[in-house]
Amino acid sequence: MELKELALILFTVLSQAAIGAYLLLAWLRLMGKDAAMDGVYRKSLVVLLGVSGVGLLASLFHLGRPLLAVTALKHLSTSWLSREIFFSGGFFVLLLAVVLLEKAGMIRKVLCALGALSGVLAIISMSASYGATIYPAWQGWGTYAAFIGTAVLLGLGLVAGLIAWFGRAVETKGAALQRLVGATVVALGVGLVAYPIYLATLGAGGMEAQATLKLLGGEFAWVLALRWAFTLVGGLVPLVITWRRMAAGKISTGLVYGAFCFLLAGELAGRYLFYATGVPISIG
Amino acid sequence: MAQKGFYFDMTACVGCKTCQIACKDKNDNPIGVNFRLVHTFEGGHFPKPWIYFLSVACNHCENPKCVQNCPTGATTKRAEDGLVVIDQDACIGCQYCVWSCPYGARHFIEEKNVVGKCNGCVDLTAEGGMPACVDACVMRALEFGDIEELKAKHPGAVQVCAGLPGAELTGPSLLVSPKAEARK
Repeated sequence: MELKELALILFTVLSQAAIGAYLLLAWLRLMGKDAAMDGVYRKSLVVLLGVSGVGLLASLFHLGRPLLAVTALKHLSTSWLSREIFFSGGFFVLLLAVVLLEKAGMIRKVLCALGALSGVLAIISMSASYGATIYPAWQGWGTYAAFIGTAVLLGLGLVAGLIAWFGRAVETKGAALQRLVGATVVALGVGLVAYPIYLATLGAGGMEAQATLKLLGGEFAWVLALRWAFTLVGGLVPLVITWRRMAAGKISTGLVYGAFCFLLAGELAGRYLFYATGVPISIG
Repeated sequence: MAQKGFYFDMTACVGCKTCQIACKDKNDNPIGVNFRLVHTFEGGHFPKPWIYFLSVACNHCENPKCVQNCPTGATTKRAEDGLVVIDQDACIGCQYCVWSCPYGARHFIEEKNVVGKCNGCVDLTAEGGMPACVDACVMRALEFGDIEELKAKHPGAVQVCAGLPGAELTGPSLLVSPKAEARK
């Protein structure tokens, strides 16, 4: 694993987590009538700003000449990478504006909506930029599903963790938290169904796609096993326990934090596999 | 626009790699960076083993993914001769072009932190010369020029042979006279 790939792993996973969490927080805030939770949401947005900022900063380490990074915006007309940087950077700037202009009323609402739009377009452009390469394993719906999946899963996990942390003194947080935990379990279930279908797609693809499948089942099988162990044993099991306890009126915040850490580890391992097992179309 | 490209006579190539070395020398490339690379393919069984070579650089494609994907516009396709060139001063070293080329023609140069590639030796050809690889080939297996003229000169040459990615991906300006084992 080279630093350059590590930079991309951190950039994609952290950006997607921040975007997923932002969309969820915006929705919760829009739907919620509970004024006590407002402060919790505001503090959470500041954390998301940090997560998104670290992701963008990490992306610079992928570049040979990071000081010229801003020139990557020059080819928006045809380059998905330009669009990816534009919308990812735009999401960060809009999130910063939303945080700073908390009391700006209507302007804040417009910025909030633009931030959500920019976030969604960032994930679409990220997926499309991998689709435009010569790596068959990265082309098609699999990358969209993986990136959207990371945004949904880590978004849910991150928001659950943030509500548990910042809402320590808020008694009414239980309902929101329980819904989030339930939704995360459902999202994991969808991921469990989608992944074997993706593997089957690789098996039915050309020789490069099949080579990726062979790597996943051979040299990198232990990473794949670790990835799902993190996600299912470390993430899913504590979340199911938490959900059951909440149904009985108890809150186990420690389990929520722990589950999020394991979900994050699972997604990082999954993204490592994404890069490590990509096989390009080439001479040979 | 006249599209420039390469013709490679596989039936004449003996795999000496002089073209590879001439290119490396011309571009002063470090170890591991080869803008032109000779690939070896072998198979068969005694008493009928076979071997063939493919000398490949940038194919200055008709639809170059590298040009489309480059986020800074550092990579362009010249209007006058269709050559795909890179302005290294504008390159940020993101290597997205490396992920876009099915011919492995692009290389990240650690010493410069930018990507480099075959530019058809534009400095030499502008003065009426030939690219270094073409001039160096001892078997005269490589030719460079207007791709339509090369097609007319070598009517049996093909764009795709065993070992090369499909021409439909990028439309390479490459013609090959394949050996029997390399015919698709």
